[in-house]
Amino acid sequence: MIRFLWALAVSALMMLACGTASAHTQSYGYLNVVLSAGKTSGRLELAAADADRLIGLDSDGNGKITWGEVRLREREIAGALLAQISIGGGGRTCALAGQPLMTNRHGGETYLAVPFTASCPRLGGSLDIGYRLMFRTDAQHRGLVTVAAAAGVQSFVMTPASETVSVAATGGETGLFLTFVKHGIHHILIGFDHILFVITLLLGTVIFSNGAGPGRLLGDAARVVTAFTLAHSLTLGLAAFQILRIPPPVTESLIAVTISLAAANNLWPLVTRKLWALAMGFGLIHGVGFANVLAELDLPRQSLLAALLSFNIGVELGQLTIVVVGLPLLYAIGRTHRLGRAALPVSSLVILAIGGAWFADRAFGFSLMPF
Amino acid sequence: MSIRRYLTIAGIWLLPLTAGTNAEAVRPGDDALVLAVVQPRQQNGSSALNAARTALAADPQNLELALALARAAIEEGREQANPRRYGEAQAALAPWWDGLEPPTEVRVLRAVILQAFHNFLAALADLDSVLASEPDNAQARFSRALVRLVGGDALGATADCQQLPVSAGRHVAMTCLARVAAMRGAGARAYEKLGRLIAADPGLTGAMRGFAISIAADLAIGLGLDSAAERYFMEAANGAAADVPLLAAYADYLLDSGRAAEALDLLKGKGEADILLLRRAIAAKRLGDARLEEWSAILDERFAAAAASGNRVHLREEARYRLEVLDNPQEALPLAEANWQVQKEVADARILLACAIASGEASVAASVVDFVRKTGLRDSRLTPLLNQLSMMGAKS
Repeated sequence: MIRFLWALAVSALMMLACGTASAHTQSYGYLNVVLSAGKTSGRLELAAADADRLIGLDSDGNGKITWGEVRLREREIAGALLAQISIGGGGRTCALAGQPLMTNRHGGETYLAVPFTASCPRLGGSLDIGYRLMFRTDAQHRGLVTVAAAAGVQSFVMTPASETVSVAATGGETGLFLTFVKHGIHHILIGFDHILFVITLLLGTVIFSNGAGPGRLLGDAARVVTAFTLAHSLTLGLAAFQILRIPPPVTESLIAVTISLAAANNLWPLVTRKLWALAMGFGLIHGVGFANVLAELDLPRQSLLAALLSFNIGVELGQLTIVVVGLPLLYAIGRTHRLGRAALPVSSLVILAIGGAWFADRAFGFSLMPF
Repeated sequence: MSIRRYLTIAGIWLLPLTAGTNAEAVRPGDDALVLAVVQPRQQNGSSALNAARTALAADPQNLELALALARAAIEEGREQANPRRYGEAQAALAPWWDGLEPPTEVRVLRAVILQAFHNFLAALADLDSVLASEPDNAQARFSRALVRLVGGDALGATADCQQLPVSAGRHVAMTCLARVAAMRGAGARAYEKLGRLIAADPGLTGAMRGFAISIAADLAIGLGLDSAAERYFMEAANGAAADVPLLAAYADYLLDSGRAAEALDLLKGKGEADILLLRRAIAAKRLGDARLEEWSAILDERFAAAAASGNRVHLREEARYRLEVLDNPQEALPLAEANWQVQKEVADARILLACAIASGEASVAASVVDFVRKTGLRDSRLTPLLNQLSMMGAKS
């Protein structure tokens, strides 16, 4: 009794004196679940030492858990570990199928990693995850769960007092598609610089059409807008997959330059018949700018392509809106009397100045512009 | 508070939210690869913990068996500084753990486990309640003395040490009082008495002796008696009490004496407890040892996992890591401040003073200065820092 009194006392004192300490460290389990394109998969990871406490891994009893001992029983081990978690929804559970075991390192310890796929019945509006690894033998064990779905990544901590968690399901790929289309539209409509660039191109189209009829004007505008779209889609894709890397401040400064140059071209024409070529060249730069926005949205990696496409569709829809509203307006102004026609170059001059001010702000840190 | 500081603090607390799983899983190609080292089976029989596990597994609702397992697990948890064993003790007590009025013994052990995870208020509530009905419960009395001590309540701790029942024995009472005396500025006399006890009392053996020696070593350092401290450390390191917390304290002493290489030697092959890894990393940093990168990466992952799980109990260690290994006082300071809110021992005061000085924010350590003045605490590890701080204050 007295001996234990000491142990307790010392224990209290030393734990306090040293912060929480650990022979290896506190015990954690990692469960990553990925919801993608109607498929559910994931990976469960538990320290080999903990798995040994749970199901006994040291077959020869020599105190060393080897990969050989694990490999020989890997199906059984995977099954036993997966039996401690559950994934389901609407009262139904998914069948979890373990794949070949792997190992990982966390905090200096070797973990067994069980990749798995889940065959789920049609889940309802929410995904229920259960986790009870180790809780019966270590009440301080913590399960760190992440669920990666279209809408992003969510994290949860599982404890003996909280063994289940419910994640709102996002409607899968449709949800992802709509989300990123909205992001795309939103971005182009709040991005003054992109709106201004598109308007500058439209201004040029109207100026260089020399009062041609609406049919020809529409054709010219379509060529210019399509060229811009193709170019920025290309660089958006390259930048999103990190094949092309340009620091955001550089991109932003260059975008300002493209606006000024396009406006200057309206005033002192160098490119008139092939305005689409200018749109294409400058569009390459704007695409990298879109990618910077996409990067800030923290895309789910496994559905990057789908997100990219939907984002781009959103950008094009937003752009189309600008064209549909702007082109008839500019056409009407261009057809009015002299005063109206003068408005076109004057607007170009104003845009030239705005682009210049943006460039000064972005490249040299001035604060000339309110936005 | 400056914007920059505010952002740093926000960053420190938000950082863990981004901590997910990091490394990539691989499939080993070598069957002989050792994944983990555990206790060999033939030794299992001889371990008290294993015997208790087997017994409880057969009868999980048996209170006596659960208490036996919890005690054995706590003892091993302390020796190895292993929170997994405390978690095991808690799991064994699960059938009674959440009860409002659990059996007294469960309540005392619950308090020990709660305080191990720095849940001091809940631990105090349990101990208060036990002592209210059983004032002569020695375990509860001693545990409360220590919790009060760590919380900076020197008077309360003294009262508990003095009220320890005779059955606890004079060694317990004397060591308890010596520990408290240092905080009240009476370390010198307490140290002498404790020294006489250790030197002359044949009844002081085993774990008790190890504990008394570790307290004596700590008092000696505080009094600036380095060679005496080292003698005690060496005796403890060679004896039965050479457990992980003692090794960490010894390593700190060596680091403070500018003997980082010896600290590394001391810790060689002693396992990978957080507190040992931290000291290794500090030593490696000072020596320019190439293993710093590996140890640092492990500590980074552990601190991130602890924070992600919401179990951020080793604030002091993390503050020290960020200050002494990463050279980042801005990140260390908010951790040291948060730690000082709950723990008020010498090491807690020290890390906050060091962070305040390193980041040039003398004012944040005002509560330490206050505390030292109120308690009369004197310690050779704090004096130079306090002087430095007052010079900073005088300049600004």
